[in-house]
Amino acid sequence: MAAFQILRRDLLRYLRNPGRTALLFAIPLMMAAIFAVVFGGHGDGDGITIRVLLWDEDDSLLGRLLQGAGDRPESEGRLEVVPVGPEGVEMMNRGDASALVHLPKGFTRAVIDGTPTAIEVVKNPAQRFLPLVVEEGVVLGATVLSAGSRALRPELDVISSFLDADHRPEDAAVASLSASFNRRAKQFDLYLFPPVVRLEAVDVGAAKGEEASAKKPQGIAAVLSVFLPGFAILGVLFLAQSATRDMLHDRETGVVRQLLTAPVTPASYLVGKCLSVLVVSAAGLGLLVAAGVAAGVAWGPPLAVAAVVVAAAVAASGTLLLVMSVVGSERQGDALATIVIMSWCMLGGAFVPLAQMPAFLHPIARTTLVYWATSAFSSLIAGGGIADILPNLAVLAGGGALGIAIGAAVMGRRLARGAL
Amino acid sequence: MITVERLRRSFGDLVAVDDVSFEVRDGEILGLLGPNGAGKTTTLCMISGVLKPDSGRVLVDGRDIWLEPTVVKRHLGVVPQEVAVYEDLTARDNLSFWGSLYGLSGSELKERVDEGLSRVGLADRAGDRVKSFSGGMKRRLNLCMGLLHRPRFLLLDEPTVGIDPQARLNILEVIRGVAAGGTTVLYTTHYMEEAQELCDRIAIIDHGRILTVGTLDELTRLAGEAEVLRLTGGFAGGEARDRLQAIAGVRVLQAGDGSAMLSVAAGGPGLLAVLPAVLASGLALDDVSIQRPNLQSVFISLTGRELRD
Amino acid sequence: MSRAALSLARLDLRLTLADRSAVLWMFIMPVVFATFFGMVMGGGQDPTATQVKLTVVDEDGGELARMLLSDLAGARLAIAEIPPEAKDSTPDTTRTLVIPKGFTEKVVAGEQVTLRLERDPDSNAEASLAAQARIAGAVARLIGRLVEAQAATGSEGPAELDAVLATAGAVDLVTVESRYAGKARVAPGGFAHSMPGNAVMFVMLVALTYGAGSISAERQRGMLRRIATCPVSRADIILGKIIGRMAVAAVQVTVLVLVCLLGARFFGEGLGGRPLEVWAILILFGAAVAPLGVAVGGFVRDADRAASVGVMATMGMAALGGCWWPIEVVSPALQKVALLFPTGWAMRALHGVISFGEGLQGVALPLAVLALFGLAFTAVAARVLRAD
Repeated sequence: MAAFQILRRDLLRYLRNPGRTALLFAIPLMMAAIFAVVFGGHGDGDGITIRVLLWDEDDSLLGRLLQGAGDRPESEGRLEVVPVGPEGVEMMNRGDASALVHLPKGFTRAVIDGTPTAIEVVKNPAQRFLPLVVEEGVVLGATVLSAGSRALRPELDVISSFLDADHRPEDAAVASLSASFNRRAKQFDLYLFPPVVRLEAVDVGAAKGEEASAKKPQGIAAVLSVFLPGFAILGVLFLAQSATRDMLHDRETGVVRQLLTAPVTPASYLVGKCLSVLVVSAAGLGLLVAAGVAAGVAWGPPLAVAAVVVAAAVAASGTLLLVMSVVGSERQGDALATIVIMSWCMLGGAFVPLAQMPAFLHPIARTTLVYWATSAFSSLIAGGGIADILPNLAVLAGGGALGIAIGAAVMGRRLARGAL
Repeated sequence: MITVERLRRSFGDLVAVDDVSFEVRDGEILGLLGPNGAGKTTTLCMISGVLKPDSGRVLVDGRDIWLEPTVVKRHLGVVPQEVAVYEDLTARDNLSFWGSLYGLSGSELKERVDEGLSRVGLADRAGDRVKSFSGGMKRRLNLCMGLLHRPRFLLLDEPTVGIDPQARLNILEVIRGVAAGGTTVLYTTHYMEEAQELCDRIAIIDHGRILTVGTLDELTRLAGEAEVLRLTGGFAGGEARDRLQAIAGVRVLQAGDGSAMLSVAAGGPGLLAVLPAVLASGLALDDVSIQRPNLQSVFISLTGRELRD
Repeated sequence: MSRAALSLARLDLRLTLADRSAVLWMFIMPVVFATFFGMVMGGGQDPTATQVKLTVVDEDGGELARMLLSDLAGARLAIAEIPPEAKDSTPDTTRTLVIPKGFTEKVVAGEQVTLRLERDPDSNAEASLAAQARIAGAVARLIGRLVEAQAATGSEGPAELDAVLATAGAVDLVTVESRYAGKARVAPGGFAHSMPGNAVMFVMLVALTYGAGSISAERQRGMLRRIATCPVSRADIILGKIIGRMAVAAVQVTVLVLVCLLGARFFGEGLGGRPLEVWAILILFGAAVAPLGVAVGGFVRDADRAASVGVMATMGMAALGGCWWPIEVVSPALQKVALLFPTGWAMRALHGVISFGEGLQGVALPLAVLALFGLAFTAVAARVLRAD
């Protein structure tokens, strides 16, 4: 069978040239490794440390509370509060922290007196969300102070008069104030202790069972579970590109002409090449998946993963065959394939999880085979079974087969016309 | 005049050029003839200032190319064996670029480019990208690029490899024209016919050493104006050597199973006397052929091998 | 500088611009990448106005639930309210806040109620944190109102619902004045975050892939050897090659900055209102990495392999230098690692100008470091570039 001879020759070429073959894998593996190293420590927002500079000119209670917040064990080092003086403004200009909180002189007195006052927050413009979180926290504190300042007005007025007086307050007055606070505390007990409204944040979507989240991978494996599927798809597309480009190379260097002078029909040449593209893609994707396993990624049920690998290889082969069938030269093929691969990976969620992309891109994402491949891997990782990814498999295999058929037909016609 | 003095260069254990000395006299075409791998290209690279010799020196008009490279290179034109042209550029672009490296510019550059293009017969394809050129056209362009600045010395490294006879004729004709204009030419080749036809003097190089230098006449005389007899038949090498050596006036150049070569020196008994002795030697001969003295026979008499690719 | 060096440089620029795939990576890919990631990061808007997406399911529908929602709407959350029965059929559930049935009644009565914020684990963690903080703020405000209304009654019993609603008009005594650090004092948008990173990455990518690849290819095809036979000194050849790559980077940078300027309506203030400074920094960066491309080309003999090495070096330096994500999201140790690479310093200078509104003198240190990188790379290139 000439087709199998061609397949054999192609596979031999990969084996005989291990350096070049390794380079093809190096890029997706390196990207995944960088992500793993950089985010392996935490993996998601839960591990981000927010650094806040506190410039408390008033040496106020709120300031001490804020400072204490960073030391509380439940903050798990997520908040780092650094006391500073006026130099804090300069530190912010250097981008030293997420935000500076500035409590002005006379701040406490203003709260007690019920006169308007303001807390200044200086945010780091080079950061996106962390400064906003600080800002929200300060707004929350300000809200509490505002409400307290109003609700406790009679008592605060008494304290204010104590502070204004030039002698120590009478014992009776202090006792009455303390009794009054006690009354208030009892009164507000209804809403405040515990707070009448609680906010509970829960992760959903890992809805495939609480047990799945129980054995959720940690550290590097967790990061790879998020990013490796996308990079693996990027990798398999590049592999398929290199394998299909070979057909153009064969043509430009006259190998096709030479082959066709041997008893090889154009059809068996095409079948052989398609087979080798498929085998190379599937083997490459399989290797990338295996690399993930070695790093601790739990891909899910092996049979279902194997099905995705094969379907994704079919999809990648079909896509690239189609691309290469319409171009005139290797160079054009490279340029067009790069555009298709990059834009599909971007839109299909191989670089950024779909949920983080603007909503209007979501329907576009579903038109790319990349989306169906990455989401198949992701749902298996999240604990899904083969039943959950049947639509993905169907789209990948169907789309890929269509691409192979059309691509091969176009190339076949060009062969027949002698253009190849 | 180009003077090459005791050049030596090795790559690792391999000595590519070993103690090579010769000179190219003003206005002459010197051929450097040798089989592939003899050290021709390495020698040329050292002469043109690309490859530094381990020892020895190259003087061009008395100036050492490794001491005053830019001064010397200004008068040197080099046509390398590989077709070193930018395929994405047009013929004119290529020539303008190389001309500019020799300090040509403006209308002078344009004139030289036009002159060069018509000289190698590419004027009508000046605006086409080199990618679309045939092998012969690329070779002609390659040659033209080395001539733009009207060099006083021209070094050519097998400029006719792999092209059709017509393009070869064109190239040789251009080189003759250049030499007639007073340019000193060093011409590297492994084609004996080219060396015979084109060169005033010929240096034969093999295994990195110069074997001899001289005019065609001098060389054939050096080989003793020997005629070479080539024998084939059903004999064994050892047997052939023994029997042939017994014949007076004959030198056995090579003797193997089934083939042997003898030279018949001038001034001896002569071919007519030797031939019957050979036929009567008792070897089972199928064929005997006689070769007139030429570069091939010179090469064979010097190395015991034929000059082949 | 000699005329020959300029000739060599001009040739390099010409050959690169004539290569369609080079043009793709020089101009089109960076714009596409910056646009895509800029959109992912919130587009051209001011991020204070960035509407964190929040889907709300109000199963209660009572007055306090509405009060809470109107507070939330004021808190820069893009709220999409969906009816409770549609909850399971809505595809976009990045973050969903569920206000349970009986919320108003129970809260006024002082019975504890739990609000659920359901997050998609794949969603942007920072945005979720911000949303959570904003909801917590609105909840605190609500509790404050309950307490205030109750204080007026003087009893320990629940407040009157009407009294709670009446507090809506009260003015906050303690306010928060928020601004951005630096001289610009305007909030940079999503493109201001994605543009510098992508510009730096693609300038480097082109320098290291096309720069290195073209040099290896020229050597493979004997061009460098032929150039060496011309009356051009080795210094001029190296200089010409480096200037050629610098010129390519300069053209690329200039076009990218112009595209950002012309597309400002769409990209927003991606250049922080300082296009000249951004241009100057990128030019210096391009000049600094150009000799690195020449060095890689001098070092790796095979053209394809040289380009692959270029891609990998670029990816590594871009990621670790902070082009792919804001550097503050990585550990302090990795933030220091960023300073080992020219990408890290270029990003520092660009952030200084774009986000903090600094002039060039304000980012003099990173610029000086970039210049030193350029000199070091030039020295390496001069050592490793050989004709054969």
